[in-house]
Amino acid sequence: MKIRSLFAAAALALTSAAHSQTLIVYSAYETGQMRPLVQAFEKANPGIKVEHFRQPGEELLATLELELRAKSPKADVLGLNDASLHYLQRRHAALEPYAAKDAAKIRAEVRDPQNLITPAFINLYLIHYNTKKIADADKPKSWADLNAPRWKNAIAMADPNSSQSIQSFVWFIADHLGKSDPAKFGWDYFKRLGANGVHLESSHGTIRDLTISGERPLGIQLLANVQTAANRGEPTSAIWPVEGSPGEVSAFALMKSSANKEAAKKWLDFVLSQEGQALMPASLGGAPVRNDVPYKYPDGTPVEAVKIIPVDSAFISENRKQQARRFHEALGR
Amino acid sequence: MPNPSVARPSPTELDWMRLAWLASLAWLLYFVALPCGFMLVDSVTDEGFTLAHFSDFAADPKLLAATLNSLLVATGVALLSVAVGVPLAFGYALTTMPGRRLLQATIIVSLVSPDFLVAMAYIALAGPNAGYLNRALREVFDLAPGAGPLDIFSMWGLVMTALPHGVAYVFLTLAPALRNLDPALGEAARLQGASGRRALWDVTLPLARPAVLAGALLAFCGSLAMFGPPHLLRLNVLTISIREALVRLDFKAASTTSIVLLAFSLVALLMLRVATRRAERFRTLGGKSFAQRALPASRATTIALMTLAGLYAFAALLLPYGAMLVISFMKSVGQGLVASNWTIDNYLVVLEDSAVRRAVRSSVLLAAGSATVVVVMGFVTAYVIVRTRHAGRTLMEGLSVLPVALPGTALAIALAVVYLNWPLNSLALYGSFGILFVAYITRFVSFGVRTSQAALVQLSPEVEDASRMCGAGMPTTLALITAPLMRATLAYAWILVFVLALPELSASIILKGIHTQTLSTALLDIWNGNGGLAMACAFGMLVFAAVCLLLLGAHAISRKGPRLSLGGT
Repeated sequence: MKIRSLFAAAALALTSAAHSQTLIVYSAYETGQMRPLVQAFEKANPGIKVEHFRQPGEELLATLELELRAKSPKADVLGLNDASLHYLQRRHAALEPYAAKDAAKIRAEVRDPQNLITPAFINLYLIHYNTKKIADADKPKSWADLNAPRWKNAIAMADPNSSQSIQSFVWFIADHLGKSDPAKFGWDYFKRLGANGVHLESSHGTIRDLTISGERPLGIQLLANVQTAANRGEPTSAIWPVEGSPGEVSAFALMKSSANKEAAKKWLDFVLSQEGQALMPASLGGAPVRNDVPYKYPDGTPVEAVKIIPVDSAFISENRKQQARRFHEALGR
Repeated sequence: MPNPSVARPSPTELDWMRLAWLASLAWLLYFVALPCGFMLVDSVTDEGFTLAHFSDFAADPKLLAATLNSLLVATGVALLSVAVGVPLAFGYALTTMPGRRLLQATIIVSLVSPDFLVAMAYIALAGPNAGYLNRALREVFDLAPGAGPLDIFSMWGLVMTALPHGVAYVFLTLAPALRNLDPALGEAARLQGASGRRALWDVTLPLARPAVLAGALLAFCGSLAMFGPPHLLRLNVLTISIREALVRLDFKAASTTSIVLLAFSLVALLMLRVATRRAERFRTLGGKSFAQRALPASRATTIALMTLAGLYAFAALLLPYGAMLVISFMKSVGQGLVASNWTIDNYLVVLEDSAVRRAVRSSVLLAAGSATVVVVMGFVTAYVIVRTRHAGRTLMEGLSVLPVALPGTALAIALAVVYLNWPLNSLALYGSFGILFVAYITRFVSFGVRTSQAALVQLSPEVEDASRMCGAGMPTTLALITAPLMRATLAYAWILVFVLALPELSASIILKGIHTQTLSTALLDIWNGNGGLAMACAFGMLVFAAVCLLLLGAHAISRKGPRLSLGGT
């Protein structure tokens, strides 16, 4: 025990010395997508260097839980969705509330009254499709259309065993739409999707690449990845399903254990600032959370034309394990 | 095996040997026995002894399906590897077929070509809807548009991706055995009136059986242990179940599944021992005291063998790396092969990415460190096993073979269990590079010990005796006589371990912390969307190029050094 505390003290001394100007961010957001935001932040805050580490959300949660159990959490700031951050808070009370400077400017429906999380952007589910493989006239119009026989072996979606966000979509189909339209939705939707040969991937980025190559011309996709594909000039576009799009709040939060809280708070301030919010579409690929920042979806659709269904993140953070299990049972894999 | 001939050691020398013995035993116990033991105990305890974890395993349909899939794939790969590898080894070792050196080079390159790169390339080639190969086949044979005929996301796809390594294992164990067969045996059969073919079937092949079985076993264990390809192809096999259990933080399920996986490899290993025990009594693969005569094969046989070799080279290397090279230069994978779509940006982004650089640096250090430890300690252990009569040598041999049967994923779980629990959790290795270092050493223990063992057996102990008779002590003799004689072997072993450790994936993916990415986990991360397909291909090509260059270096070194057959008879 003595050796251990000695080690811990030495490590603490070393890390606090080395990290005085280094902000450690763990997130589920792609490195390439984070880069513009990180660069702008470092420019606005000379002297702070951001080190970003990325893992798919569900795997990142496991990493965080292990670090917390080992009593050596290393991150200053976490970037995950609302539901995952609250899940972590419920299990480990790992977060510290902080009201970012422009918190009052956040759209009312995404505001966190406790300020445990700082909303960064709104990520929506939509259908991403390959315009070379699927003609405009043939494309599916709704989530229900995806179960049509003509899309057999054409669709890819994320696996809740590794992806956090797909939980929002599973909730939307099984719970939300399942209540209003049980004939088409509910868990049977996934049973039919499984029979239609849906391909599961561990991450939405891989699904984006499968859609781009045409291997899976339809993807149940997050707005962020449709944006990246559009930025790269890929032959793909978006479909806004008639049932609406589940929207989750992608956020950042301050770790209670952070050794560098000043820098961490500056990061959260920057994320909510006019400059940071204006960067969201080009960087993280989502819609800004402030109303005073103009935004249009990557296919040109204006914001007000999309029906956004806010995700019940409290439900998801409570039921994530059961949801994942039932999803796999319905799919039969 | 020549008997140890230690000539009345003086008291100081006895200490040196005892020290070597102690060190060998200690490193094998620490690196091999400790994790395996811990994992076994973990799988049968909860607050006391219990078999509940195994009955949970047996009651889970998904795990049972994974078990069946793992066994089917491993058996399929082993059988097909023999079907392809045996004729190739035969052609290489016993006939005058042209292009034999090229064949050997192809096989060695495909052995070190990381299997997840091959799988990545084949997704682009044989994806059912848009794979380049499928599109070409549909065009040429006028098939219905849409999907197929090939589907890489299937068990067959997995078997085909694993085949290059499997064939390499069979070839590389069988070819030297065939070369060392005394041709007099075959000729005796022919003098008795047997036809050339009959002599081959009745004499040569039975004599080569142990080598064929050993190669098949390596192919079997290698396929059971595979992580990258099933991960990329999204197939349900045991290594994937282990990782999923860990992401759920269900350590008990992870250890239990690992034990099941290890048990299959061990059973295969034991079956090999039993099957080849009789062959040992008629040992013909000793030191080489004859010139190998190549059999003139018929024209038809030569053409068939060359076709097979060509197909292998095409499917294992040319096709996948060709596809990867093309994709790596694309701006937009979706736009395909058009003039405006070429760029070298993917390479620039990879080379400039600080996370990639960090990961590559870590992997180089890990590979170099583990190769050094494995080669040095492998030499010491082999020396103790071959040249002394100390107790515990059977145990040492057993422990040094065990890692061959220990899948990287299972080993990683074992290490996680060891270093997350009392008492070794106080070392705080979990989540650091230390635990990856331990894992890499354990993975390649067998390599270090077996290479030195094989070389020592061929090295006459009289040379060492002479040195010591002239008054040199044990360490001096080892340093000035034995090690230099084995320099080429040791250098070659070092580079091979380095080349195999550099892209290590199956243990790294479990043990990496968020700060401790390795080359392969960083590559997988890029593939998983953190950059995308074209960038992953650029990174993959760089890795492959580095591996090939290193191999070339190893080849140059092994040619320069003294021949191994020195004083063997």
